[in-house]
Amino acid sequence: MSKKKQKIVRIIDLVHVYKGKVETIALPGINLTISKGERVVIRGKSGIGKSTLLHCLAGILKPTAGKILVESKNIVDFNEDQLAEYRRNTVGLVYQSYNLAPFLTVKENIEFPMIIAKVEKETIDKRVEELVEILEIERYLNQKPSYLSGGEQQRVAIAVALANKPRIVLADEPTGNLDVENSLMVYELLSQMCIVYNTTLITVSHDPEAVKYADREIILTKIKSKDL
Amino acid sequence: MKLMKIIVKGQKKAIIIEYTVILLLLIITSFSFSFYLSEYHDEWSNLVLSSEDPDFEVQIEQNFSCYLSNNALYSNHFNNYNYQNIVILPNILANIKIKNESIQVFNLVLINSQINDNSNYSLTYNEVIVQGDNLVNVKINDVSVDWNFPAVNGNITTVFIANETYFEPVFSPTTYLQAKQGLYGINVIITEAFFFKVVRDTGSSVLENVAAHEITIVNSFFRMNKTVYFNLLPNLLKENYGEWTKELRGNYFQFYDIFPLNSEIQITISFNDIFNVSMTKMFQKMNSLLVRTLFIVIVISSVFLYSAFAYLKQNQKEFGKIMQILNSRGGNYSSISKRLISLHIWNTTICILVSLLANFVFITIMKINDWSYSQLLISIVHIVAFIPIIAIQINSISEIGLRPIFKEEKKKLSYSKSEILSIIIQIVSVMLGLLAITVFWTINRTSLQSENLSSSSIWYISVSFCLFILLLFIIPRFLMHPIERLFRRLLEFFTPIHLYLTKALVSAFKSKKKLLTLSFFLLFFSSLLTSSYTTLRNHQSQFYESMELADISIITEASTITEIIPICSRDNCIVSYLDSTFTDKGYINVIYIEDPIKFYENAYFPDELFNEFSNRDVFNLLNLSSNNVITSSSLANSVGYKIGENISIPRTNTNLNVEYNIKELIDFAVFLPYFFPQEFSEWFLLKYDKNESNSTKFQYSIVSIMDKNNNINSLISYLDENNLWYSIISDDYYEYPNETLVAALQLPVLLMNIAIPFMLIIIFIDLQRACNNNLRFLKLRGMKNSLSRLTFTSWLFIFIFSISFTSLIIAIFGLNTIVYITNTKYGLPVQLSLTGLNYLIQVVALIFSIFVPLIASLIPKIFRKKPQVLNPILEGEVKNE
Ligand SMILES: Nc1ncnc2c1ncn2[C@@H]1O[C@H](COP(=O)(O)OP(=O)(O)OP(=O)(O)O)[C@@H](O)[C@H]1O
Ligand SMILES: [Mg+2]
Repeated sequence: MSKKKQKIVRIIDLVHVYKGKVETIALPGINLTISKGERVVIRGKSGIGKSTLLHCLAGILKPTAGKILVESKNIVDFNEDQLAEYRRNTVGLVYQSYNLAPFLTVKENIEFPMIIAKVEKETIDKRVEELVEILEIERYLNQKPSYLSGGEQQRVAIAVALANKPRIVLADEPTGNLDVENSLMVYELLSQMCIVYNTTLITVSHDPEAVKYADREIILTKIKSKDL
Repeated sequence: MKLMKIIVKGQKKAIIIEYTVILLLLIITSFSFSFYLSEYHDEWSNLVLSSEDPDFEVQIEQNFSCYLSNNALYSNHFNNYNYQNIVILPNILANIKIKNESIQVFNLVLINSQINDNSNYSLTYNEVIVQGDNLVNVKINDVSVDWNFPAVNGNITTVFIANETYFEPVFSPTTYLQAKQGLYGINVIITEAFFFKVVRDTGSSVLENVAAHEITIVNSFFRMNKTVYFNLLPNLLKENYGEWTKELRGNYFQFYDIFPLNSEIQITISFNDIFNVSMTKMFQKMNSLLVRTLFIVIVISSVFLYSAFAYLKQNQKEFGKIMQILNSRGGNYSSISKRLISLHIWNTTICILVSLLANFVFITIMKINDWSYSQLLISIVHIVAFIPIIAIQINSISEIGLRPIFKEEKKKLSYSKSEILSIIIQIVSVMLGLLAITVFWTINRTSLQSENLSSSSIWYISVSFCLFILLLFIIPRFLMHPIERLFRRLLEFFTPIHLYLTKALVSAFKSKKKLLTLSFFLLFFSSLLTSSYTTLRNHQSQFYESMELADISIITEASTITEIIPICSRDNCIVSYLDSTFTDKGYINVIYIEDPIKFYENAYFPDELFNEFSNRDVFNLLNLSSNNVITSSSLANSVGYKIGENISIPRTNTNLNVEYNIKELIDFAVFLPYFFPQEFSEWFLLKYDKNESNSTKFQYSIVSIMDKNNNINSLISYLDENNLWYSIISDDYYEYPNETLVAALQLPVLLMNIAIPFMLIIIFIDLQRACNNNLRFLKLRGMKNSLSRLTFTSWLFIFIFSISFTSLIIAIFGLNTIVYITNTKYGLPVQLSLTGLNYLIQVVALIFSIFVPLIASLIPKIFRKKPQVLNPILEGEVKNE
């Protein structure tokens, strides 16, 4: 928590209310600051709003109120195109499951974020090679994700998230259905990659082991909701 | 074997259900058709077998001496026909006394051996039957009949006195006799054999002295042996009847032409009306019954199939899991699928055998097993039903989803082995069915009434039908690939991620394969129905319009034409002449049109009906020269001529010698059967050369009047008053043969055009959901929302464009084949006609494809699967979490 470090994410009074038959206050007004290169693990009870927070951060869910300043820009005010741009260049996402396109091969999955960001072909090839080597997934490059085991899929997901050298990686329970050994490997890989590329890592996890690979642990509680 | 046991055990429930469904389907379908058949059979046998009326009736009025001199030749000439002959001799030849009272007014009736043998009381030589209304109290001894001339060996014995009803079965055809009976009251009946024996013994001059110029009426009744046609199509019977009467008529003219002496002879010919009125009525009745049967069969079987197989699919999915386990424990994939397929084929075979058996029992009970059509139809029903059954089985087998579960990605074929096998089975079964039908058709061309179809055109029809089936079932499978390539090419210009986008869309569409096939077939069927409907409607209006050519045609003796023309005023009628004549190739009708150009002006001709010439060309040709004889190629072929050949037409000149005129045959339209009656269906048209008029004598003239109301009544009353012979040959208002079909199509076409767009939009929304689900992954990595929406819309548009127009083209291709077949039978050829209505469904589908996102958002939330759509990107996520 050194103050020297540059702040990359500032969340100010973030509120999100799901409007359905029953209104659910998922985020009651959150304030949070994360430094560049920091590895943060967010924990909390189930249903407390962790995933909601991460979705807001990824720009795939528009919060009801509040600000999310990423590199001093409020992404809440972004329009569709700016959000797409933001997802393309600034953040990388790793989810527990369903985050690999089943209709693309592993290689295509990794290439896609770079192609859409108009990275040059040679650079793409080099980067794929690099990622694949570190993550040890060369064998599966030309297969569809559904033919891979959970751990393998998750390693590919990390490669996809990191492909574009994002400044922030968001991981929502990346080890949800993996065994202990595999979970550790995933955390290890994620945090190492982030150190290597100097990427900010925001992980949501129930797993106490995750804390070992983080600089800071944030626990969400429901206290504030009463104030609203 | 163990494996088979496991499969049978696991599939038991499915097999029983499948078995029941297939069996019920087969039985419902074939039984409904059997009911139809038995109905048809009853009507048909009533019409054909139990008809008492003679089929051809000739009444010849002549003087007695003519009769005497012709008779021997006459009976020789018509020997082969087995006719019944009733002759009313001049009663001056005999005397009859009842209770010593001489009767002046009576009929002297000769019957030939045909009638004599068939009556209950066969007469032998010199026996007579006296028949009358009021002879109840008269005894045989009270009656004496004598010749009114010195008969050498001809004493007459009265053997029987009959009351009026006794001879009814024998005389019933003679309306003439019945009329006279009312007048004269008493008939004296003797046999021809007896009479001519007396004539021989006494010498004919003795008789002629008594009654040379008295009128003698000969009624000959011919019956065609229709039982041999019982197993033929009704139209063939009709055609054969036409041939038969033509031959007879020819024989009559030939016979009486030999005796120019007999110009005083008056011949009246009448035909049995079962070939017009009753048959048409029966066809109408049966057609509407057929439409109803078809409708019921289609509705019942489709509803039934759908629900049953929804269940079956579920069951098969569960079985699939078991198989997967079996497979993973070392069961060989191919051996499992082989056994599965053989199990189902075995199942189908048993079903078909059982159903065939049931059907033959059924038709035996219905007593139509001897009718070849019942067997034929049931076999066809089974062959036709076999195809959807196979399709359903393959569907349910593929539902089991056997896939080798190897870790390494196999070079994945687009089709699994069982699928390829099933496609081959489908294609082979279709081919075999077609081959069988074609061979059957070619062999039985005569009994199926398609002699004018050459073998090559039968094969053309079969091959194009086969092609049509193949296109219909193959194209939807392979349509995706070219669309995908085209789409990718297009996208390449706009975005670097074209490959990924296409993959996302293609995989989404592939997961909805069944929906896509369904929408293809929906579009296809609505195209087919709609274009059949518009085509038939067009044909219907052409039919009625060409019937208005002449409301009524009257055939009269040629000599009376000069008297008739002033009455109906030349401007309003078309005059033509008819000669039935023998040529080197046989018997034909030649029709001479007086003024072809006028004929043309009054006629309605549907476009493009002429094969080689335009209609005006044809009539110009006719008008310019009398060297051409016009006919249609099929009519010419049926008499043994070819177009372009010379035809020599015999004419009798003033010296009563026969001359031959050589004319060239040219091809011509087919509309004329509407103008000229069916009886003269083998016609040749010639221009009537006015200069020739004095030297030629026609047999008949035909006056066709355009306006029924104006002249016809005065004309007919004139003819009646002056005792001129005439016959109305085409005042029938023919109903369009496909009237019931057109009426039956109307509602389905309307419903389809309303219902299918709704179904399409539901399908489109489902497709959109599947696509969004895939596109979400790309959006998650930074693809713009607008790009995603645009690509989906354009992809759907291109896709729908391709399938809707492919289906339209295939539908038109199929319809064209049907039209080709029908055109060989109709006089007025059916022309494909497409109107705006035909493109309606395609256009609607395209519009819908553009506006799916909008329409989807308009649909009330309750109908949507998810209560809240947070963000398009999350859509899939929410569903999955
Ligand atoms: N799409 C949605 N519509 C309505 N309510 C939602 C929706 N998604 C989440 N919620 C509600 O918002 C609250 C926060 O959900 P969120 O998914 O953020 O929890 P979480 O902390 O990630 O829980 P977990 O640890 O189980 O994943 C929950 O009470 C949930 O019921
Ligand atoms: Mg969560």
